[in-house]
Amino acid sequence: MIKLTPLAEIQVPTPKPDEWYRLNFNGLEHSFLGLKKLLGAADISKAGDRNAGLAAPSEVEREAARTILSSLTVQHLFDRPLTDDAGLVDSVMRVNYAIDPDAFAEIAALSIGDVKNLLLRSEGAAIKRIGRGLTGVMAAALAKIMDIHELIYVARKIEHITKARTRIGLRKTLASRLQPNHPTDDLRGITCLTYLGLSVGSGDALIGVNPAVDTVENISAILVHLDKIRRHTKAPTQICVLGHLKTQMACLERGAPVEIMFQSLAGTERSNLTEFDISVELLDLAWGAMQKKGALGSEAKQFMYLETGQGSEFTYGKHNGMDMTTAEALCYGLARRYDPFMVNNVTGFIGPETHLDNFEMIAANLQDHFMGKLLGLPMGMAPCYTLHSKIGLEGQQMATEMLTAAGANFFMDVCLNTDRMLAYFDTSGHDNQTLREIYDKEPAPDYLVWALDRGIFRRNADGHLVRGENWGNPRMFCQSNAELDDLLRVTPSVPGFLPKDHAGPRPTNDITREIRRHQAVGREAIQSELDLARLSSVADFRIVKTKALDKASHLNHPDFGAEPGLAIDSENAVQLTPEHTDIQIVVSDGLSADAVHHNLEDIFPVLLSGLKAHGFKLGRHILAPYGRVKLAEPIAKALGARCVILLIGERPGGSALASRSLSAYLVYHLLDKDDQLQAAKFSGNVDIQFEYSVLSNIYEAGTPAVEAGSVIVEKVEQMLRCRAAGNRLESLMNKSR
Amino acid sequence: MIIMAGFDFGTTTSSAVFARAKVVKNGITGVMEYASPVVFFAAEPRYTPYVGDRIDEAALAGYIDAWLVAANIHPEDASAGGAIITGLAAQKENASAIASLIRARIGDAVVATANDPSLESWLAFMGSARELSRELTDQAIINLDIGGGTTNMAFGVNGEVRGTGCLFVGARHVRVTPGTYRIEALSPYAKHLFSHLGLAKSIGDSLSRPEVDSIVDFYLALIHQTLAGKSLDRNDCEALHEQVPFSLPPDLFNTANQAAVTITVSGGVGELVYRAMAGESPAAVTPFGDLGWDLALKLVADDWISSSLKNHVPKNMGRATAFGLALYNTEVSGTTVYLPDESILPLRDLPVVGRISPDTTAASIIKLLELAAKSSIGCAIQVDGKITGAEEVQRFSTVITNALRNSGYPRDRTLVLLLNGNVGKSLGALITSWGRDPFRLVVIDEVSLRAANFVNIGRITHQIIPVSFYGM
Repeated sequence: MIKLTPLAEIQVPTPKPDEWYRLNFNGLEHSFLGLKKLLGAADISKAGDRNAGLAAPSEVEREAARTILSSLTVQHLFDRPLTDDAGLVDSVMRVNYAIDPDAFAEIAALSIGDVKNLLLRSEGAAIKRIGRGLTGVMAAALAKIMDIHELIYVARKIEHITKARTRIGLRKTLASRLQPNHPTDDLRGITCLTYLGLSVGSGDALIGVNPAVDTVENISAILVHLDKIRRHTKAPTQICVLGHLKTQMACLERGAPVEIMFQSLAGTERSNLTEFDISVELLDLAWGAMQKKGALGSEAKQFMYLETGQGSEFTYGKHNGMDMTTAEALCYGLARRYDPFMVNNVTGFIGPETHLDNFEMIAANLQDHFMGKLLGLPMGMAPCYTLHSKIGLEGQQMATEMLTAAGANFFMDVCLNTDRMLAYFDTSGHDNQTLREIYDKEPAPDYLVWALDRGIFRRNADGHLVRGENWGNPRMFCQSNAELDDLLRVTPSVPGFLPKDHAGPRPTNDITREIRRHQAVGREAIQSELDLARLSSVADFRIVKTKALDKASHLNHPDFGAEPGLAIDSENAVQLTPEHTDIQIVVSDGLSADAVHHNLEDIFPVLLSGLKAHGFKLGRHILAPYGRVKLAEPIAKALGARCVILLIGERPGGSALASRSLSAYLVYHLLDKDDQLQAAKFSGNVDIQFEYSVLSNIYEAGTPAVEAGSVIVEKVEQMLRCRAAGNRLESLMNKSR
Repeated sequence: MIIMAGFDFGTTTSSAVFARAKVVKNGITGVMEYASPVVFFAAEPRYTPYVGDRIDEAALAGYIDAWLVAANIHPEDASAGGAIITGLAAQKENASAIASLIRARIGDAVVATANDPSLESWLAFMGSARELSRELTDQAIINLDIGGGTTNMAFGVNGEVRGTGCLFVGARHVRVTPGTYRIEALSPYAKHLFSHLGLAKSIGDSLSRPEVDSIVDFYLALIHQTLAGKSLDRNDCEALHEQVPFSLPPDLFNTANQAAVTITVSGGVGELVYRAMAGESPAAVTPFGDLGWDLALKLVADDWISSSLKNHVPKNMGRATAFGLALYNTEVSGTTVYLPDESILPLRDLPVVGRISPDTTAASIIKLLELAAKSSIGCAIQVDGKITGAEEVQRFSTVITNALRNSGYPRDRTLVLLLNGNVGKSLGALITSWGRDPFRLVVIDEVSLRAANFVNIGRITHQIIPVSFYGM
């Protein structure tokens, strides 16, 4: 078992001022001030780095940066730890310096280019030794000067085997994490998706649920349920519910079966502290708690599951001036501290503001996989996408083909590629089996024994592993057809998962077409534009533009839609000035103008009828194309409105019908000093200015628009009467009952 | 997590079942429902205690208390389910005594219903044959719940009951000294039957084997006749034994369909049937002091019935009704209802005066409300049909508002609209002009409507309201 080096004992060189790096090439001088700029320019061009002003503007500039970077010695990078915005070495960077001094000494004098050559010439054990002498920044530098073949070739030589209940990471294997997420944590839906996944040989790395609700009670309940499923099916694997570290620690304390402890990591201390609410100290505590009390006890050699992905630091505006690849590599340097059972990379999850298209996503995935493996991690990969990026299923599949060739330890099994809770698209159990067959891979050996016994796989006459008679037959885990029907009845986006619905390791064409049709509708909804003429017949709107001037800038710059641009109405340009109304209604497309078109005509008459009946003073309605949720705040401030009702299109997921789903954000403006004090006391945020109540899923299969109208009226009436929103309002309402 | 309770107080035995379930929104339909109920306690049936013909309240209270202790629940934990009182136990004083016991011990959440043979047939099917029916999707299932006093029949397809009926056929119309056929008591139905069969026997006399056979043959023939849809040709005695006619689709037993019908049995006698099929027989005759075993053995000997029974065994046989009550008697409303005053609830034994559709005219609704005005405790009206779009809700609300204003329905009397759609809050708000019209209106939506005469509506908890129908 590893021993955690106390943070204070990790020696980090004193940061140096930024230096100029220069190269004369083809008659032009290329210069870069400081390592961060140099590293940023040396990478392939990705949306997040372009948005951060770090990507090289041209191929020549990029190659110049790569040439300079190649010439720098490992020692040079060692001596210049990258600092945070205050010029300090943060805790994540410090942990990255916990390297093997002997391994480092062997390569310190080599240039980055030489180390790359050495990696290409070396075999697995030697590569792993080099990796132990590298910090994240060094691994990132190497990734930036490697091409696609090289990223695959070197990573493929590294084998990292870890062991919990099952062993994963063997060269011959391709495992999977089964992700049976359900939008309401319905245990029946979770059971259903688990059975479907196990039936196609998934879940040998983990059965792990991302919960919709992060409470100790809920996570404990799901853990107990997963444990029950595991015992019922006898599948040899491990379970996890991916709540926050603190919640899982409380579950562990209560005796819930926490077999594997999960946490997402970012590559800067600021992101970890303020966005993920974690620190190195907390991670150390969690690791220690698992070492003592983890449900697998001594059966597991490793028990941590860490998740990362390029771009989170940039999205939060807390990347300390570093590019996405470098920040990602720092996550690995942090993850390495805990000798995790598995690391999962979800680059592509965020959206087009970090990775715009297939190429950016694929290349980033290969970089991440290489860096993680090099730094000693058991890397699983989840090349994924949201519908508002230009990444699609084909790009995702290309990524998985290359990542399998590169030796990824596992992929995700998100049933039929559609995550029902997180509204994004990941790899499926069908994908995993297809890749296993193409690349001659097997499930984890301990799991395989079980799967052979259940007829999920069989050995053919040549000893090759092939699909068995029960592959893709979830009925084998149920007592009756009715039980399976009941499970499927509560599980969205499963058009079919019986033996007749599979064609070889793939879904049948009918199933694929249905899934793809839904995705296509979702994508179209995102690209749809508000029909101003049609909406003007619903109500008298004034139009407020945001800083996003077109669809592309709206999708690629989420912050643009949160700020009003020049305010105009249809005739005269006007600025928003204080009106001191009770309520301001704002309608915006958000990520689906279709949602607005399909709901507004039914929601408005009831909503207006109710607000007027209560005698509220309303401002003239606002229509704001290319808006985001936070737009409500500057509008409330400019108008001096007590409350904003923001009706905005939700991010489409895998259901065509749900692409028409609208949300109502009911925003209470804490204008009154006493209200603000109460809210600050309740939330712990002394600067709080707004409180939110939300009604989501306004569409045919959720809350129908016409019903939503009166639900909003009732909630807004409560907000204005109790002078609160969100959890504080609910708490006040409960007290008054 | 909520606790669902089912209590079945029959002529012969009483039992209780407790289940635990979560109320969740269905991820596909968006409708609230009880998810994965798990039965954690099912009491062995016990003889319903009587002192003479009166229920022994103290003994029954002891049963209920013992069940609660054994199940390790507090009475106030139960928030759904029901209690049913049948046969002798449902006689007037007995029924009200049992209902009071339930109310005193469990509270408002579990409401007792007396003498509702169709509900009992429905519950028995749901409690025993539902899962089998869902498994055998190409078959019609007929469940015969045979107890001490009645045979409750239900016919269903794919887990849904399509029709119910009831006969006064049961084990305890003729009560005898255990181990003998010496008559101890005869029900009024048995007296008619004796006269019909020409059996000049009364209390204290012993029945001969042929006489016992003639009695159970009559019962079997009546069941055959009912299943064959020949109730029109009945003689007086047969007609007297029919409590609720059982209407089956006319072509159900056609030659082509014969194989597509499966018969299951439940109830106390049903349990004996399956024990007999497993080779068991009583050491001596009439171990329970009734004709239960005789009837069971007669059913097993019947080729037509036993061919089905051999192949398919339902669940929970003897406690089918209690299981049905715990698991299926209560449904939940949607989360957005119109309930301006929560203290209106609970509403018990509310008459369901009719069913309207969104295009019903104000005049028809006025007629219904005038009928409803006779009920001093208020009434419920079912609204069947999809109401979509603001225009339709506004139009329909205006029709109801006008009907309410122009009918004699007292404004301070409760009117509950039960909808199967999801527009309850808006419809209620518009009907009452956002609460300004002083109607005592409740609109509960997302309810599966049933052809029933009464409804029990529980208190709102976690934004949902439990609803159970009876009097079907």
